Amino acid sequence: MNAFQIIEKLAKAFGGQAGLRNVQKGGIISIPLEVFEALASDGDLQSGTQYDTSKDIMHFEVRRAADIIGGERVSIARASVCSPKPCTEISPAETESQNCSAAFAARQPSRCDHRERASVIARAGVTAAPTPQLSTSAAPLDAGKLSQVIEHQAATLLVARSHGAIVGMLTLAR
Amino acid sequence: MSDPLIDRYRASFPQHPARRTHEPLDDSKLRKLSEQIQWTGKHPGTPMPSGATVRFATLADPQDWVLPRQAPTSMQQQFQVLKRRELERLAKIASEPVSLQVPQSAALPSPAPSSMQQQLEVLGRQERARWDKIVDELWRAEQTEYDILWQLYERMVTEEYVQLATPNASWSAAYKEFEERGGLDLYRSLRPIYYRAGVRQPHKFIMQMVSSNVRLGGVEVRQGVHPKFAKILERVDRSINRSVIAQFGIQPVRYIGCFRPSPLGDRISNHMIGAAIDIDATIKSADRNPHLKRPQLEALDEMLAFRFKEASQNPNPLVAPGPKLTASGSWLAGVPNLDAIDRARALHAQTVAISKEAKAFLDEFSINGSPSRRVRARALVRGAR
Repeated sequence: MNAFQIIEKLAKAFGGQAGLRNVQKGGIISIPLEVFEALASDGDLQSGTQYDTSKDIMHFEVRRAADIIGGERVSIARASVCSPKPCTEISPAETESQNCSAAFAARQPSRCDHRERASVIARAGVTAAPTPQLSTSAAPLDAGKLSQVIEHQAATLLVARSHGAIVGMLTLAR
Repeated sequence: MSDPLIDRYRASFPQHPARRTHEPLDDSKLRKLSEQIQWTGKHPGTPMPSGATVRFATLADPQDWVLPRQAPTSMQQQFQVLKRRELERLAKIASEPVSLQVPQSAALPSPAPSSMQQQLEVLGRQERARWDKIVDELWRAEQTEYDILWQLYERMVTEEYVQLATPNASWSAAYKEFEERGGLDLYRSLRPIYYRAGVRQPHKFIMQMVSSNVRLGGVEVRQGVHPKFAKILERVDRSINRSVIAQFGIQPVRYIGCFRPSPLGDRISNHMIGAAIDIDATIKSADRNPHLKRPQLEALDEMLAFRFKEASQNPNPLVAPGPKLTASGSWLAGVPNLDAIDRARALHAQTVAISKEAKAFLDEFSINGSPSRRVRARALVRGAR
């Protein structure tokens, strides 16, 4: 493709000559590094440049909308869909779509692994609490056992949350 | 938390004398209808005909289950058990005394029926017609309740919007966004989207938006900001290195917009909850922070590939060759182990690098957005070859 064709394509993509003139005049970013850095490095925010399918350069948003909306309803979150690969390899878009059980994945991706996720759930006390109601002889699940369940390829763990707190879990095997 | 639509429905009975003759919808049905209306924002339709069979209806109470002590071992035995039960049921019906009231007004067909069987058929038809009429009346009464519930919903939505329109309120900037983009009709269409996202009373949620004293880099954040998001922005604002900005006199940003009632298809957006900002997006003369979608990214990638090819064919001995840039895909794919600040710098650096390449390309080959004479001439020469 020659320069003439590229300009034609750019003009078509950027809304004609007027749009291209703006790009020629000011480029595609006017946000100074200091402002961009302060916004994009905040743990609760993400930049629109982190999207995979598009790049919204002007845009910064909260990582978890649920933190703003609050928990009026019990939401069901799939916890184990990310089991085939470590959480560190999951893109922000995937993390968002999975709505991972631990807010961990979004906040501290570098420290998140399945065992830690399991321990977050175990610490929440939900695994220990209902076990005596289900069985008189079974021992409550600890973080290690729970981790085995979550990591298993055949298992899908559904976590019910109310106001952000875990109130129930369900395991489906296929 | 109570459901405002259900509250309105229940309040309609004591409020309106005419409603005293109406039979209210039962609690279970009312809850389902309210959820359906607010979830979809549409009229609930018509009640199900009373004769219709509902699949997956509520299972019988376990106390009502009658099971043999031991399960039948074969299909034949199971069939025999069912057959015996059916015979027992028919025998019970047959043993009950028959009390058939023959109405005086029953118009018998002429000529007179020839047999008792025909008389019974006529009476059966009349009885069915009577019941059908009663059922129709009940069905119409239920339909009326559906319509009333829908009207109450529409009135509720209108009143919610009127509350948003309170003059000089702290959320006026958010309301103004609605007014500019479609007013009540827009609110009506967005309410179900808010509802599905867990915001049960959107007007109260929007009334939380603050429109003053939220600043970032010295610029006021406009259009309304959710208080929780405002706290995050305050924290970010404190972390901006002002000394650099002051030293070089950089105008950080000119316009920052936050709340915007526009969904992502049929899903809620972060702008709709006042939890996202757009920087310098509404300055039409210099719209310099675009949202690059697939066509723009593809065009930029063509341009970047062209620039890279030209640079590699005619290398500048004074400048080290840079890496090949791409606009599509993840910009952090090759550098996953960065801390937060380095990640932010990498994203900014990538944007600036692409921006510079685009400007340089356009400066070389374009005048005011159209190809320069040199490019046209070169294209013609190539075409002639």
